[in-house]
Amino acid sequence: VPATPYLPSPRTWIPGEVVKAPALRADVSGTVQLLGTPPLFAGQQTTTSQGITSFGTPVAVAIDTELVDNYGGHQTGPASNTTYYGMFPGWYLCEAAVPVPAGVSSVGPVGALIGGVQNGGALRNFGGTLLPGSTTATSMGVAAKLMLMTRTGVFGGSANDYIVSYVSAYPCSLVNSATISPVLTIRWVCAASGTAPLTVPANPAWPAPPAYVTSAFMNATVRNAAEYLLYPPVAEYAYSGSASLASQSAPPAVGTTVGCGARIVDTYGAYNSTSGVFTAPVPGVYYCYGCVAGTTGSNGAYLAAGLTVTSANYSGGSAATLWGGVTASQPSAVNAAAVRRRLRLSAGDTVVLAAFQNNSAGGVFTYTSSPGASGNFVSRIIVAWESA
Amino acid sequence: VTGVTLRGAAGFATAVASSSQQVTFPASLQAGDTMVIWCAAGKPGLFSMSWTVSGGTFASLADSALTGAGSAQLFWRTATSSDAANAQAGTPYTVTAAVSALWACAAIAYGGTSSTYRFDPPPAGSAQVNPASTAVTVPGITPVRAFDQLLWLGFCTTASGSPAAITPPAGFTPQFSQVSTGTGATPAVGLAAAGMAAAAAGPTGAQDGSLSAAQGNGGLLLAIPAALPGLPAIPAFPAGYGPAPGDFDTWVQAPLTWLTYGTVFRAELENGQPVTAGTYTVIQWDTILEDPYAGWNGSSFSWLAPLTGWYEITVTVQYSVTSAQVAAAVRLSGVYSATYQLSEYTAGGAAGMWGGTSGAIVLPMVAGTDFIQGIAWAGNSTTLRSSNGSYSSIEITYVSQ
Repeated sequence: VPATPYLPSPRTWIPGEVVKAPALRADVSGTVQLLGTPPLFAGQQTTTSQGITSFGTPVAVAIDTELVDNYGGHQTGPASNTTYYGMFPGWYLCEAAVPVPAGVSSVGPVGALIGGVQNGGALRNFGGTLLPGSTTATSMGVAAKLMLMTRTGVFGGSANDYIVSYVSAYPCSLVNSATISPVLTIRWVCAASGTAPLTVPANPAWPAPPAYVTSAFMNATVRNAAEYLLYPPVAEYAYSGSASLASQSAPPAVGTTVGCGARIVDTYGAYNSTSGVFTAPVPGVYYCYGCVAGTTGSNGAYLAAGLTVTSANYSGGSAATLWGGVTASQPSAVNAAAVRRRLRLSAGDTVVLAAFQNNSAGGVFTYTSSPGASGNFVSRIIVAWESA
Repeated sequence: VTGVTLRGAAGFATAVASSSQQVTFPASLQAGDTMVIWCAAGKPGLFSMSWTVSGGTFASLADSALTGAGSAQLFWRTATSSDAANAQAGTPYTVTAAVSALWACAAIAYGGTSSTYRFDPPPAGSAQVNPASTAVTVPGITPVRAFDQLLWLGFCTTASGSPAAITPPAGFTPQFSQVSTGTGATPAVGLAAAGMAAAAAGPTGAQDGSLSAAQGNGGLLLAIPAALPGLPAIPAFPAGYGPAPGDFDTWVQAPLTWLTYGTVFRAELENGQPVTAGTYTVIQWDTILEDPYAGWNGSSFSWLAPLTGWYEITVTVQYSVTSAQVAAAVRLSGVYSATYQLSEYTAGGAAGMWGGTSGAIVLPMVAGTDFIQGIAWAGNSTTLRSSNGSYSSIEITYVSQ
């Protein structure tokens, strides 16, 4: 566990100020300490034989084996191993995968969810994929979600925020073997609040005589760089409207936009909730995740989520949708498909969540928008800057 | 601003027809620096010039675009301690032309450059030789790293009179004063180089220079990325100590630079690949989008960890044929070896569609030992997609020490 991590609050330097070691320790050492080893948990279920008894009810997934837990927010004991307690405040990118065996007597949709208590609120879970199970093969739900934890530091505390991976499936025992098992990853990506907008740190060499360090240099090179890295562009929006998608014969080169109107977080105000367009505020590599969720028609057959990218780095600069793959869907039921890519974007490039559905009877796909028993599966887009 | 530093640059030009010149690099050259030699000649229609360099093994750009109305050739290498000693002693390297003629060359050195990712992207196909014009048309490139050092190389040639004055593209600073050959024996040549710090990655657009008079010309644009720092220690900032600027580079610049760059590998499969039913098939990534730490091995289709720590690996696989379950996986080999299946779906899609799935996992990797392969699996034999919008992909990001 890193020694006494803290969230730096970089100072503003004034002309003539003496650069002293304690100030640099507080701002630079603290930033390197936190971001070099950010809160990170990765775990698997490898020994538990976890049964699901209730059809379609989200069940907390036991994570009995830790790969890494550098802030000690998780324990492997059976009483608490489903839960990761926040040990440090901030936004966390959570990713889960849950394999479900082939159904024998009854097969229904298989879904993965990320849930928990955020910022002292009520327990909620948020769906990732929800797709038909198989009678012949393992099915696997995957999910991603940004979660905010502000009440932190007390493992097991009733007032502490926490995160749980859930699975929704038919009665079975989850698959866990040497090659395939439930996995949960939780990693800190951003402070709960910070300064924006800033530019990507240039990290210049320090001036050598006769040049000298100025307050402007210190503010740009130390304060702004640390503030940017602690609070980079991170956005998540969820679908909140009421609309449907007509059947298409095949995934088009540019998919239909799914605008997400409900803001979860947007540190740089980069997503337009009306147009559904994320515009990169700074250049870099962005983690992008999209999930398309809704109710299929009576002949619902196929579903795909995509990311429509307009960038000179892709398709010669023309808008093009990078699809997450076409998957089968359950008829007359809630289904959700996902796509996940890391995209190199220049400032001003755009990313849009896109959807495709095919229905042999031409029925529409109606987006779900309100949380509820099945409404946990809502379309959403996550974009987070990761690298220059 | 860039971490790349110009050590020095000099131009050399023959006064009369000659088959060789001796060039020297700046005395400040250090081991690990990037050494560049750029040669150009004229005489259109009679020969395509080529050069060799003695005194060290230089890589050379074999690019048909560099011949035509004139000829040019690029050489580069990573400086060794012997090169540094040569530079300090003023020991020259001999550049030899295939034909005795008037020709010019430049020797340029940059410090603080990456030893694993020399050019961003590799320069093949990015040069151009143009017919007589006042515009030195140079195609743009698409660096994937921010804060590269851009190097613009240009020349002009004329069969009569003196070479024109070369003006580099806007924003570029000459790295040395233009050099020009004598006149008369063969077409005269003028040669120039200019640099600019790039603020961001992404397409540069065409970077055209200009001439004071219409002449045959050519050019090449390079992006030289800065060295990537290794894992930083938490800086201590000792009190009561009189630091030098280099101490702050170690305490501040290096760790913050390291934190600014997280993504270490991205690749796609764009040409398709068969997958045999029921077997874990190593995906033969054919398009490396970025690999600044040079971990990619194109023979084993694996990526070797350059730094010890925790990495997130994301794999997306997309199949042309449906009606089978499909899966994405990664195989970690090294200190601990295992295959991890990341996702699996019952594939969907009628004619004209395809199946696909994506998953991610965080794994520990030991520098120089552990390597990752992307894996595809399918219930029925199939092929991975080869269409834009449905390429399979792998992305590896360093997430924690």
